[in-house]
Amino acid sequence: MDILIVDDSLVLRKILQRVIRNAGINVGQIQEAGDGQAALQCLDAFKPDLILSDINMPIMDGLELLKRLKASDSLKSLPVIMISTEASTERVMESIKLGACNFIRKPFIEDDIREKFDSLAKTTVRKG
Amino acid sequence: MTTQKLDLNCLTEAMSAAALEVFGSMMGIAIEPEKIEPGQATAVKDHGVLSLLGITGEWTGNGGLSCSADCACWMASQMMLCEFPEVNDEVRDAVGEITNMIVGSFKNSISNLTGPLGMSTPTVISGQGMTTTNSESREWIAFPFHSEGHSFRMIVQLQPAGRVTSRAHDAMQHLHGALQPA
Repeated sequence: MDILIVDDSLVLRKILQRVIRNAGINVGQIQEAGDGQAALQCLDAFKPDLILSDINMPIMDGLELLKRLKASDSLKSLPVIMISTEASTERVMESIKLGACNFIRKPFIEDDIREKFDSLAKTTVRKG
Repeated sequence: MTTQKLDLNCLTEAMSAAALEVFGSMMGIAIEPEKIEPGQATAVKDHGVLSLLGITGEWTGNGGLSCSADCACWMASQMMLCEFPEVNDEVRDAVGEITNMIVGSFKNSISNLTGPLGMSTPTVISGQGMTTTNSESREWIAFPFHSEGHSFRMIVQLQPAGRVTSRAHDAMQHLHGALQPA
């Protein structure tokens, strides 16, 4: 599984990579972007199987990124898991309404991430 | 949280829970809260790091973290699993993210009393002789913590926003009373 991680924090992007690999998830290539706009540029050349995106980011936040993805014929089916400290707030609910397939709360733990990836895999298998 | 008023105990409980969770889950570190310091200006006298973000909603203000340069390097090292001998962009980024997670969790905990709160991305600065202040002379509350020979302070100042609701007014009266010296 190839993944695009979108977060304005370089530290969080590195930690997330480490946690994903430690969680025993079978990942291939992981690329990073610092905001929504950089993520869209990255998607011109990189075709991931999943996007993990923070909500609260400068330049283009995670919700705007989600809107742009869902408005694109070629990208709208790409699964997006949102990551935020904003558990159970309106912005998280909004991200689900906009089409995010799941949500990971920061600070994240390996078990939570493994569970969300398992859930995504089951959904993908069911749809496939 | 059992209390229904936004008082000092409620804020302390929310901040302690948030900080303990973030340090425990992201760094595997047990931290201990110390006695809180209401009304204290936040000063970083020696070389240190100060991370601040804005809080918006029915209540507005700031949240943040202040610590020495050594402590900031220690936090970043624990988070990134590598050594940082001095404060650099990665250390500032780590401190900003710790602030973001702790204050984010804190504001989620108190939002049943304050209404929904928004939060800006953190701004992190490092240097010497820094003191926080603001144009309205709002009172800061400092929540000190320590672990493994390092200490840091989470800081918060909150005030009802321009259009004060009755809920915010009642809570502010209660909080103001708690902040007065005995």
